[in-house]
Amino acid sequence: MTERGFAPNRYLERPAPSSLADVIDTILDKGLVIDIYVRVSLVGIELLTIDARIVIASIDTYLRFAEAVNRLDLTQTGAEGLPELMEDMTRGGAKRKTEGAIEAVKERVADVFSGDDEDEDEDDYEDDDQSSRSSRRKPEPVKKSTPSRRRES
Amino acid sequence: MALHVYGVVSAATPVPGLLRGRREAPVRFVAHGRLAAVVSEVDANARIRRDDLLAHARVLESLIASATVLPMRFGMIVETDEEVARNILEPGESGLTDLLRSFDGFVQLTVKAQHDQDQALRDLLRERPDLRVLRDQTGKGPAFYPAQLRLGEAIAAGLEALVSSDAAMLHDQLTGIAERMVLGDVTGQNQVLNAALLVERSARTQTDEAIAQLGRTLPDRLRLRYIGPQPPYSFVDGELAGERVWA
Repeated sequence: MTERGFAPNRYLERPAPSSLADVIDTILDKGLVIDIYVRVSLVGIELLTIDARIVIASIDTYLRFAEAVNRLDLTQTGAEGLPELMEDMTRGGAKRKTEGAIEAVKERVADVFSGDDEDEDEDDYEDDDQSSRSSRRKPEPVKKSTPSRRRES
Repeated sequence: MALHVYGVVSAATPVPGLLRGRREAPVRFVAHGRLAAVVSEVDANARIRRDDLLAHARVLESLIASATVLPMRFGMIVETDEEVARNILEPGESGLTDLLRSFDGFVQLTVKAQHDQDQALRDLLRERPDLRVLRDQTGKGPAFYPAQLRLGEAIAAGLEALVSSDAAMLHDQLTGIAERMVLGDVTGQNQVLNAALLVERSARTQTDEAIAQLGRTLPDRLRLRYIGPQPPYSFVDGELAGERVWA
């Protein structure tokens, strides 16, 4: 989800302010906590965190990787050696080809933060209204572990 | 209206001039004893928007430019000034003051690394003849579905191994640049490293140079981001996560 924020490394002379993606894994996860005062519904935001962690281990992802790799050399029919790879690289031809694998996550992120207005997924929150707003609850962020690599094949 | 609590500073910290917080509400201090809480008024039931998250970070990042701040995790809502003083600052006076002192003169800088996926795939294919063989066994159509799956799974595993080795290499390179370093979780595809550095303000220039130098020497597949200065999010977290500060 931070894909666009990673510019080539020559612009590193000074640190930059946090982006939204940076903010999500710092201020929601870190900092001083006094449990009884955490009183904010973080439903939508937890969703986002979960989505970011489940990407890799799915058949869908495997197929996208396979496709990405296969398309690295559209002009080749046989075995490909280093020279062809190098050539393809210098053409920069594959820039768009592997985006599929991360697209799903980006879309989810866009869904969750779908604007600065009180938007249409308000309903999701209303259902949970009493429990999430009026009670003082701890947000229990998703436990952090490496995404499970389930083998679904 | 309730109060959103951003963090805690020393009561001696100059009150910020025109600092705006969530929903543009003016930021002010609630002082008690040697401490002050950084707050702004907020509707306690308001839904969280991305602006709210960014505002929390911006307020803290503005303050850390010139003062030491203990950051609160997002979402601390307190009803009144009196409650802030009585329930946060008073019981936390000694613990929070010590903690503030321990971070005096330090800021957090965060280095994140991620793979450019195309470059990583190319490097992987170049270094792994077995993956090229798998690729050559695939083709279009349902008959090749199992082969595609095998290839994709092998690629995913290969990328994962590449992430691990690159993360270890970066960790080595960053060690020694900072007073302390904490590695955060790496989430999401292509993410390689998330390192929080605790750096003395007076050493900022050297740190900036060291990171820029590191960026110039990395393979093309690795992209760095350099974020900060931030309050010491990752360092207070290690000590106090989930605990009552003064317990």
